[in-house]
Amino acid sequence: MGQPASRENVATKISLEGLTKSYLGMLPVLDDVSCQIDEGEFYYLTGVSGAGKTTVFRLLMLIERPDTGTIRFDGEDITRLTIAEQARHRRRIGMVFQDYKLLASDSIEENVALPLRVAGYRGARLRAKTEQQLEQVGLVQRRRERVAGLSGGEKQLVSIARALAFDPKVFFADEPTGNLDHTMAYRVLELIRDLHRQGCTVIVATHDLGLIRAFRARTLLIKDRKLHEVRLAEHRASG
Amino acid sequence: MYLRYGIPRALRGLRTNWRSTANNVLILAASLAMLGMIVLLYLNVVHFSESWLSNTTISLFLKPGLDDGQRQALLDQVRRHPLVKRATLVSPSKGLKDLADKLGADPSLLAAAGQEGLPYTIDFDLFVDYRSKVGSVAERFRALPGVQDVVYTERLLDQVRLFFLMVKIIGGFFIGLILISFYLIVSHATKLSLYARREEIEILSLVGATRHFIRSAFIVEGMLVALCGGVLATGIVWISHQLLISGLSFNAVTASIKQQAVFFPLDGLAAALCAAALLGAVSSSIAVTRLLRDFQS
Repeated sequence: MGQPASRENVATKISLEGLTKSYLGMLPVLDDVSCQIDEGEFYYLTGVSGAGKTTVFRLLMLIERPDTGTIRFDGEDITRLTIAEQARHRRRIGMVFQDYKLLASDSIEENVALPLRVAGYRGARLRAKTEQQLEQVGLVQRRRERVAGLSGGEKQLVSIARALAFDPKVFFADEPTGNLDHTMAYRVLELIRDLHRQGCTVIVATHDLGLIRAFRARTLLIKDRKLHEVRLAEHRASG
Repeated sequence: MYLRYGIPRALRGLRTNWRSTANNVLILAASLAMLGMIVLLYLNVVHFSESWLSNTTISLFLKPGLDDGQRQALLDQVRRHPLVKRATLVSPSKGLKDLADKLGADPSLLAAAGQEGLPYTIDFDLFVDYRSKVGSVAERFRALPGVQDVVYTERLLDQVRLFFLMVKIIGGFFIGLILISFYLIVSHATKLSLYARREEIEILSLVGATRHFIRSAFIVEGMLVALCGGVLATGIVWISHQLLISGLSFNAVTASIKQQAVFFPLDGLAAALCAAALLGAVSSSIAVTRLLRDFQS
């Protein structure tokens, strides 16, 4: 892991302020959560299953709306964005999912090119950019293969390649190694760490303590519907 | 930009989900064929009634045994009437030929019935402005000596007018009903197709596609499915129409119907197919918008 910059000089990339989210009138998953994500930092987001890790990402991606509170990206309150602005917001974030979210009947290349098509890329520009993304994950030679025939790890690589479409300054990964063996998990995480080295702000949700131990970074723990920044030792103590 | 993505994506979607596509096309075709048949029946009834109503010819059937002079005198009397536009004396042989032409039947068969079976007639028309007086004029000539009977459209129409009216009302009602069910079928089929591809919509949304962009492929799909259903339905209705018409030669009345029967005009057919495609697009658009709203709520 690259050394984070001195915290005094680091700008806030994302801030959550008094964020509460509940589903269908049940007890809130997140209750009055406040937190700041510094620009260019690498964070783990951890907690037991059902703690609300995915909810945090869904809120940051504007798939869900908070009951109360605000979310700021570069100081802008994104909870007030219009539908069209929400689409633009999602394009500036790279995100990978535990279940990959790929179009299984399409080829690797078509999946990777999808965000670019959405943004209006065509022809040579589209092909060049797609190839560049495929090179980053080592899948150029297999570009024509259907996603349906790939292993879990390979699907995650496709997912990462797709997330690199717009050279994102913010990258989210929701349990990116959850379905992968150790070798592939480390390869995937290494790719994400490369992004961080290039200055990207990264949040990786995981409950794999082995991974957190292997690649140390700042860790946010969701516990009792609150978000706390913890050191690894505290996290281990908290179970 | 939307269509450059939407058209190939829609074609691929239709090809990939070909079973669901075929089901939707068949359901739509069946629904549209029913609609087409009722509309065609309605059109033909309207066509018949208008064709009959526009016919103002009155035929005076003359008594047998009149000589040429008496027949000519009657013709002159009819021609002198101020509302009569033109009048002609029709001999039995000419009457037989006209009947054969009208029915499209073999003249030799009609000749076998014998020329003696037809009387001399005086056929005459009124000026257009006086069409409403067909009944009163016809009844006035009935009283003339030498006239056996008077036949005119109005009199025939009185007997079938109620039937035409009922067909029009019931036809209109069924057309409305089937149009509503067509919309529901298209909308339901689209929803099923969309729910089956919910993940694709979610992925598009997650990679930053706007609602317009996501909708484009599904709208094109809805249009194509409805258009295919419309074309198939047109084929079904046309074949049914041809089969029915070819079976209508067994007597003079059905032969007359056969001659006057109409099919959809080409421009009307094109407009109907466009309307089906438009309805398919609108139904898809509504369904996908609702799904996106659910997803992004």
